[in-house]
Amino acid sequence: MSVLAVSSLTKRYRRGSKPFAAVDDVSFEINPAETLALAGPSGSGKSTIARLVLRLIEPDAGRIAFEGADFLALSGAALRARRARLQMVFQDPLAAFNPRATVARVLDDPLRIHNIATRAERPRRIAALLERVGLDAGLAARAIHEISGGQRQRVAIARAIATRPSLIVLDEAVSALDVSVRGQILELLLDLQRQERIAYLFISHDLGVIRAVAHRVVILDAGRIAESGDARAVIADPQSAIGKALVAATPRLTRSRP
Amino acid sequence: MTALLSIRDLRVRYRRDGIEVPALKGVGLEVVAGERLAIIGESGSGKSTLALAVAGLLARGAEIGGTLEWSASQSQMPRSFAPPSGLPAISPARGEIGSSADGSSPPATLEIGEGGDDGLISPLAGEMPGRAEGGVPERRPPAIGENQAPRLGRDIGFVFQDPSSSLDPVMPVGKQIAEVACTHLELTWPEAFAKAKTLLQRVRLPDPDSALRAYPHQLSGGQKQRVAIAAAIAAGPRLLIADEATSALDTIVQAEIVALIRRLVAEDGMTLIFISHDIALAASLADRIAVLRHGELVELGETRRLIEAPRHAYTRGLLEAHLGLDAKPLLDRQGASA
Ligand SMILES: Nc1ncnc2c1ncn2[C@@H]1O[C@H](COP(=O)(O)OP(=O)(O)OP(=O)(O)O)[C@@H](O)[C@H]1O
Ligand SMILES: Nc1ncnc2c1ncn2[C@@H]1O[C@H](COP(=O)(O)OP(=O)(O)O)[C@@H](O)[C@H]1O
Ligand SMILES: [Mg+2]
Ligand SMILES: [Mg+2]
Repeated sequence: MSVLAVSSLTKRYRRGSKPFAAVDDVSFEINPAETLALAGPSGSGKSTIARLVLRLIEPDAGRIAFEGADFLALSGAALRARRARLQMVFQDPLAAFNPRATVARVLDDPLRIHNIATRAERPRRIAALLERVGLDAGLAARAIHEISGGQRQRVAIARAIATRPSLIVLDEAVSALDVSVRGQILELLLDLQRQERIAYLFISHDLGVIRAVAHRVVILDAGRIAESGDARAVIADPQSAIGKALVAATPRLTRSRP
Repeated sequence: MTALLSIRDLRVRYRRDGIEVPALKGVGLEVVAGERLAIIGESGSGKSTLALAVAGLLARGAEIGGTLEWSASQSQMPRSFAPPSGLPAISPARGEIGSSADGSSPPATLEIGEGGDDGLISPLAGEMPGRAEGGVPERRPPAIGENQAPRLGRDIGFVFQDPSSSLDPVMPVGKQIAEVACTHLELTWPEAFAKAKTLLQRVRLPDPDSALRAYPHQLSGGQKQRVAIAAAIAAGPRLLIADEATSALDTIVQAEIVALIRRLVAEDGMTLIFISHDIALAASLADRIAVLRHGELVELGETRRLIEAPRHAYTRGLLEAHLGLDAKPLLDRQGASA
């Protein structure tokens, strides 16, 4: 059974006075321990899909089944419980956290909110989480603004896995990182996926990154799915106009220069 | 090979909460007239600091040392002195400074120091005609004979990562471009405005007539960057500096802007300093690549050589970390599958 099944998802906004569909009849599924990437130019609807899946915004039409349950029908305690299994990591962890909060505080929140550990147990759990994402437990006392961008993204991942999710939505989660740090974070994500069978909805504008980590890819254009399939196959031989344009625009190291 | 700009032993330190942050630790390189030079490195390596130092845009608290030498005869002369052919005079080779027989001006050298308060000693101190004296911190090369030190806008065009930061949100873009032309080219306002329209055509903004009257917020990120580029080249600068000018754009728009920069630089014979954290993007555009790390220049070389036979381990690391469309997927390296 799929972790996430989205069908005919539609979200309309207004541009000026004209309504337009930011997400237009989009359907896809993600299996356990699978990475599905969303690619597409700016404004194609990637982040809107992420926000819909996370129920940060409500769709105008369509269905979202998460772990077999009708996610859009959930509310109250049932929704909160299910939300623990669905986590997110965004591009800029500084924006996502209070910069003055300590690392310990950031990791304490999900453990507390979802009743995962008692107050007495939490420091140990926090240390274990930091270790799990390759950080020194001593970092717990530092403020979010006092650690590097790569460390912050590891903290964001530690926070996301604290509630033992089955799916993590990552929206441009490695886009702001230096390439060396990016490689380490991607390795960490793959490692977590193997160990804990976490599925990822992985949003990126970078086909090189998608090809490195994703099993399948959905390419969006103006809110609609232009094509989808095995990530490597699609990127090697895109069929849609937008897929071809994205591949052609990706800088290549081997390209012979004019 | 004529150097348009010689950077020697450039040192920059920022002061932050009383702590000194060294951002550049003695960088030296020559920017060859007409070349496309990329400067790459990871965040904090000093790329922007280098660009800002060259453009004279460093923050107030910054302490600068070393020399920046701008080849004056390469710089655009004021209109009244412009060679009628429009061809730049050949710059005297370094070492022949002051002995040039053709009457062209010597390179404008700036030797920068902070009023002698610390160890930032400049080797050329005392040889500096018209050097700014005293403890006034200079953020940019002081003019040596008004027309020779490079002036931002006239001699150096600068394109930032975020076009909104260089565009005035409450002024139509046509006016903003025209102002640059007006300021530096001694054009009348109608001439400058006509020039702005030509520039919007050159950067391929759809419908230049209505674009002239558009405000920045009415344009997409890529369109705003086209406007920022139009403003940067409005006065016909010899040097165009693009600091992460495509980093905020999506892949397709990035490729369009890179193609635009390539075309404009070729058409106008500009020299380009293209700053990027993306080695593949840099390689797709540049003749030479300079690699910065922790404020030091670790490697500088012709693009193909640097990509195919990197000499420094750090450059090799950057190449290995690049996830290209032909790289072995990490998924395979890990042996993981769904
Ligand atoms: N709250 C909103 N109100 C109106 N329009 C919106 C809103 N949120 C998104 N949009 C529009 O919906 C479209 C899709 O936006 P979205 O943020 O999903 O794009 P994206 O694919 O994530 O782009 P990027 O690569 O730039 O992040 C865009 O045209 C955007 O302007
Ligand atoms: N205005 C500033 N004040 C204090 N420190 C700065 C300032 N600008 C840059 N720095 C510091 O200087 C170093 C180099 O920064 P920068 O030139 O912006 O690097 P890059 O552009 O390669 O990312 C970094 O350590 C950075 O934190
Ligand atoms: Mg987005
Ligand atoms: Mg920078």
